[in-house]
Amino acid sequence: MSKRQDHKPWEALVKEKLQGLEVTPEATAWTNIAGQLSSHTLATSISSSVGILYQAATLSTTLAICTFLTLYMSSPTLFSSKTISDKDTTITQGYTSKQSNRLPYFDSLIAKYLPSSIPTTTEDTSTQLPSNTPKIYIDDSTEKKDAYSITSKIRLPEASEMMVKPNVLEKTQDTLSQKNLISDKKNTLLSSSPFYEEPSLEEDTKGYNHQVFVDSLSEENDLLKKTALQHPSVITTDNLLPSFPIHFTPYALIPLSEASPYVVLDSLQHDSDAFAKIFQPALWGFDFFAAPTAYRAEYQLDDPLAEGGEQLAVLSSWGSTIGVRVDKITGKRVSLSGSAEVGHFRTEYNSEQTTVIQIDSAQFNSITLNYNNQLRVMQISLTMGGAYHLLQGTHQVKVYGGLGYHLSHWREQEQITEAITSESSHHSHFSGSFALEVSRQLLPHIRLYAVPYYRRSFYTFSPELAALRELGLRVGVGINYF
Amino acid sequence: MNYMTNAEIIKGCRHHRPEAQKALYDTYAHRLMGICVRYARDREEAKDIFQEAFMKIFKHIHQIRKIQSLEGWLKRVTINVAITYCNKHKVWQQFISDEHLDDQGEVKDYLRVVNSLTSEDLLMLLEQLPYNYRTVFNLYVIEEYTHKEIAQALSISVSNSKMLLMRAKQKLMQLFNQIIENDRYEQKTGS
Repeated sequence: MSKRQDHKPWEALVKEKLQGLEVTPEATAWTNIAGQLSSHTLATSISSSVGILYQAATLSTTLAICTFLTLYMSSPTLFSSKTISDKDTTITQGYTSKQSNRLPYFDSLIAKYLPSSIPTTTEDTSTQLPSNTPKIYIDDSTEKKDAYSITSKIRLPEASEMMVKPNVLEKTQDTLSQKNLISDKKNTLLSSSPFYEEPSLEEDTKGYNHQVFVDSLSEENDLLKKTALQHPSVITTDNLLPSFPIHFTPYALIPLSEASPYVVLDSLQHDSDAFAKIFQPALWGFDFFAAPTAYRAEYQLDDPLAEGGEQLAVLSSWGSTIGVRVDKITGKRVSLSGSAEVGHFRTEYNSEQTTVIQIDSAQFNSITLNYNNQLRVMQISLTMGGAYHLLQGTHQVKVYGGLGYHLSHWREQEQITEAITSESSHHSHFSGSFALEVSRQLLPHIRLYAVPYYRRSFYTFSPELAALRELGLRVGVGINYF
Repeated sequence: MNYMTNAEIIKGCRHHRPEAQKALYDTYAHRLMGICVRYARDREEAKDIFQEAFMKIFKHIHQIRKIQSLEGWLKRVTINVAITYCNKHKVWQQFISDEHLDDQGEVKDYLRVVNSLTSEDLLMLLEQLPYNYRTVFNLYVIEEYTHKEIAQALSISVSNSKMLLMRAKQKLMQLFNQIIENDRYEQKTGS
């Protein structure tokens, strides 16, 4: 009976009866719990990164799309190529440090949707896709003065995805394909270098650059895949029947000065993504994301289009991103994420006309606050990457290599009984990647890409996943109009 | 059948032994599910809470200090998970009904009605309450939280908690009155 003095007799009786209420769980309940336990005990460590969300793409293409959007939106520098020497090669992305810079939203997503045991890497997200999963390629040819870009992404059924990105570009700056056309005429590979041929600066013709990539790769990631599958909180594709996200990222680059050095400032970015899950009434949801990019500034020491001699350019950018995610994928969470980029710079050294060496490095510090599960994440990543251009022109051959070190600190608080308990964990891992890109200009407007790559990550926290290897092949088609 | 003692169950669970985990589940699942259905808006949500509660239990079972308090601890964890679930929805803040609810019945009649109902019947009545009413009623009457504790747990004011409880009781009594009326009608008609 009730200990309360203010309970009326009928209340006390209600209490007594309801307190003893026993309900038989469904027969599958234990199976689900046991499955979750097995995945949970695989490793208690978490390493937050971008790549893991691409792992989730097999299970939740919609989630992967959100991930992409977050990445793209977090900073214009993330997917936009700022390399002086390589302005239309989207495939360069992922082998340098750029993608390691934008993690806060991923952290919260990882925390909610993915098993904490899955180790991840912050480098080269695109290599994380499980086998047979088409994935997104990003057109990064947006580094243009006086240019704007509208990106739209189409999600297809059967987890196929492609991205179409029309760019309005200044002709003088979208050099490579244009030069390749020239090189076709000249039938000379070396002379077709985009960097030292005199650009038609007087012309202000604008054009469109559409690039569509569909990626297919194989990898040795079964363990991760299995782990993710065992985690019931991961949204499976079964729950994500037709969804139609639309992604727009308008922004403008405003040159303050035509002469070098110059500074560009990004306007505010905003983004949204919406989808509905049909055929699963319990999962009807709406996902909306908005995150303005506060500012971005660049300083360039040298004119990348200057003729002759060696060039040394330093590009530095500082970004600040804060966003609010109101996510109803499960209808159960509202999280707030914030990030601050503390340092990011890239140096390029162009010693000869046909050789470009680029070195990327990035430091990143992110903090993710998720007020529902009291999760705090701090993360620092340092990656170095480089590319060596062996041959340029109608045929292009490039070699990429990168090394990364990633350190994450997680602190999670939750109220189990009376007291609030805290758990902290540190995770770190190294990763390295190597890729060879071969592309060929087939027709005046069409370029084919093929990128075999090898990637290996060394996780210091999980012996079972101490060395994750991936071997993949990406293929892509670039369509250029000028 | 489960022949493990609570001490063996706790020890086994601390070492992640599947047989101990299963034993704990078999022993307490029915009772914990009973808590879940009281707080959930529907059975699907109850299943979610139930599963999440067990994950928390297995993850934090090393925190149990006294073996004798195992069942209480399990219930407490489950209730907290349910509250967390409620917090995510914030449904109790949605509204307080303006409908006028009279408390006109006789207390002894209510006692008789409740006495005649099974736990399952009472649960069905409880499920007819608005979710915010039901949550506060559960916490105050059944779990014996104070209004201050409820206010803290649900991030509402104490006065709001009191108001919700009062409304919940009035609504329940209204339902009891309907049962009483039905009984009288049936007695009159002899059906």
